[in-house]
Amino acid sequence: MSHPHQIPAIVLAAALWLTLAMPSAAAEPEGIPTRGAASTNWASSWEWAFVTGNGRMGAMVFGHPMNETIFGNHARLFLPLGSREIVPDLGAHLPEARRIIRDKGYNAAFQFMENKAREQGWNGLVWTDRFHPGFELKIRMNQASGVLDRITDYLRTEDFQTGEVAVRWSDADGPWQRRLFVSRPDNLLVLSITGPGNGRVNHELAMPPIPHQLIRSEQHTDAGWITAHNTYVKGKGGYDSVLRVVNRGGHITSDGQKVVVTEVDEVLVLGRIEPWKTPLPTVKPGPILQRTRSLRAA
Amino acid sequence: MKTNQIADLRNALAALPADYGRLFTSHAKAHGAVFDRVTLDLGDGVDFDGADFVNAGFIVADRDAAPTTRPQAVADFKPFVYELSAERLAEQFSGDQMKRAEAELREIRAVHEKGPWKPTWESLDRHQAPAWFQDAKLGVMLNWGMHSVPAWDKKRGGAMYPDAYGCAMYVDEVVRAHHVQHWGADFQWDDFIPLFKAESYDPDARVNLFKEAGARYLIPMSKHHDGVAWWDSQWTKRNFVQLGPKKDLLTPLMAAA
Repeated sequence: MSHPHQIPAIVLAAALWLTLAMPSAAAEPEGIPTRGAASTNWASSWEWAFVTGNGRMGAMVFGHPMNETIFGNHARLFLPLGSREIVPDLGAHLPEARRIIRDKGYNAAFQFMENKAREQGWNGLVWTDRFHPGFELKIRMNQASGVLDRITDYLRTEDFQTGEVAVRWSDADGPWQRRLFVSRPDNLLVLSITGPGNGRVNHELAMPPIPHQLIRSEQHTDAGWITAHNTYVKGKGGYDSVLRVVNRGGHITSDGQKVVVTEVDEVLVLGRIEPWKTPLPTVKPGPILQRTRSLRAA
Repeated sequence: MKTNQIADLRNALAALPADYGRLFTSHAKAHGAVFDRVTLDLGDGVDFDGADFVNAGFIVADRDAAPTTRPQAVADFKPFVYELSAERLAEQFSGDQMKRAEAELREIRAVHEKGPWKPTWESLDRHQAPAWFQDAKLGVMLNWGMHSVPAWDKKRGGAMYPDAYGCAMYVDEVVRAHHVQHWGADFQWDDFIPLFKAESYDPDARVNLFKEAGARYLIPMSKHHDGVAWWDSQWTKRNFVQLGPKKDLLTPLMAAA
């Protein structure tokens, strides 16, 4: 998971290809959106996930039915790396740079400024805080082993007109369906899991702590709620993730690590991520600013 | 801002209906509105499905070529008519206006004389950017106007610069060809005036967005290549209070900033 920011491009490219490559004259299988993407293969890793979102929060769905993963994302989650994002103060060299631009051109002036920057200890590229996923929701089916072999009619789709990502398949008992969207009006991640009815859904849902040394996570899981209060180790704040798990029929329990639903007809998960910030440290004025302030005072 | 929002989030989520269908209906409406707002036109309005696939694919490869059809609204255009004839304009504005302008220029020059700057390199080289500017880091330059209606230019070094469309449509062969095909040979630059309505222009929203992005200064258009002043100018009737959008585009922006 070294480059999560590449996901949209990859998935959009894949989605476009699928959409374009689908001949519209042929009879469309049930459930394939008019404007959207579809695949009969499950996504083996996040790179192949279907992506949806409401502009603020996003979600990615991948994995096979027995063991599916949903990433919850938020547009403002950037992991503070502790880099000193400070550029050297080159203000004093500006008149000289202007003279060089006039006499020798842009490249010579650029070279001059770069040399001056390096004299002040600037080492080129500064790593800036990078985008990271908010949470992983792991969905595990508690079914007898060998179920995977009996799955038929697997289809996953994304409807671009509604932003709904759906995974459908059938087994000996009947049709299964997992649908997800990220609501615009409610700023809410909504997931519904339904089985063939008669309380056939037996699932485990868990949100493992973020496996990163720069994020400290306080997790809480009970029957109905999974929450994480995350703090960035290098400062600037953090973010909170809350999932509400609701069952229709059957039972819901928890061992403090995961939520277990037994013999339910539908599991509904409502989720939200909210970043929080601590105030940034006050910046000391650089020499240029100090000088101009003293000039103004004089 | 609270540093732990778990309790608030739990309360907010508990208050929402645990009903996929209900939540989905209101969302699908909002999402659909956004989806319908955006179209990916890969082939000049060619309906992008089924049988047109090969055709559209060809157009994708050739998308810089001038389009072949003229939009209906444009085909029916009526030439822009000025409120005042050239004679009435001369009568109302020329003599008296030139005298006022001369007086104002004298005043401006007198102020310049008293100031620290002379129109020489030596003088300008002594200039230091103000302290707030040194600190500002990020500013936003707005470049929109009548040229946002044709919104096209030939690629110049990989980029398009449609703001000079009003000139290029007369003097550049490629832009001229595009203009003739898309708008018509008889469609003049000023015929874009009534088409530039600025109906979605929300200065407060824009300025808020810029501020949120961290911008500390704003360079707006006030009169650009479109040749029309953005405010209610006393010097020309070619201003957007009297033409096009029929509103002051500049003052509310400055007030918002």
